[in-house]
Amino acid sequence: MKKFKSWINPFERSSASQLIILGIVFYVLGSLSAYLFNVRFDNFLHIAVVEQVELWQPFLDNLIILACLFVLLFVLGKSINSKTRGIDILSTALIGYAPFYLMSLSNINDYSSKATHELLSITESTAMNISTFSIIYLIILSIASILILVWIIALLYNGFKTAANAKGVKSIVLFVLAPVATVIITLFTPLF
Amino acid sequence: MPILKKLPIICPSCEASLKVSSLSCTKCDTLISGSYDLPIFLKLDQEEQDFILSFVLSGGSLKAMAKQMDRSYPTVRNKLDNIIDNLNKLKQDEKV
Repeated sequence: MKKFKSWINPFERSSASQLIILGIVFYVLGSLSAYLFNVRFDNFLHIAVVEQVELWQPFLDNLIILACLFVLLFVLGKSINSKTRGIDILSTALIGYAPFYLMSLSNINDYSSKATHELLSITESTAMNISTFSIIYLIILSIASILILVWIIALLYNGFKTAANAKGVKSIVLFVLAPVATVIITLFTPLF
Repeated sequence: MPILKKLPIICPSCEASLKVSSLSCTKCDTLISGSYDLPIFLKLDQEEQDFILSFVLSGGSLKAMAKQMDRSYPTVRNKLDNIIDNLNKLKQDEKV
């Protein structure tokens, strides 16, 4: 139980500096994995499979997302509690977003790209050209995506709650604003 | 292991705050009767009292407290902030 809790709320016990170092390691590994598997983090909680990726592109994608998330969470955290420290919000953003890097693994061996193409071909022709493997792959990917999303929300909320001592309905409403605003901002940020 | 007696601060019958009505000397059996308010510190729950004690003994260092409690710095600071809120509420209640 204690181990499970540390997976969804590492902020209760681990120091901010430890979490920041871990978050930077995840950021580097996640960006490298996106480069290797031709994935772009084109906006918050969204990936796009592309033909080719330059090494610097996933690093910049994630940096923009993390910067947006950090600024929004920090402003909201300060509005709830003036004692909120930037270092705690930074660890929240870095660790909270980290599970999403796993999504880049979905395109190992171009599986995601192939399965999506097969799925899209159904709409173009009446024949079912999708393999059983692709169907099973897409189902597993969907379930994994939902679990990762829930994990990210739990991590972000627990980190924010600890950093800003957020309590009550008002804090939850303010917290929800951060990921929603990050989605909107990154949606309108051009891909470099 | 000695039993730790918990000081009741709320009336179990009507839930009003309790007051001290008598104090006794265990050496000479002198008994003092009256109506005294409980110190505000004793109105906090045991966990909060222990936290304050540890905080003072650690020289008022939240970092030292965090290490001692195996908790992160913001977790310990939040605990202290919650105790401060509780103390302010109790102080206000006393004024009323």
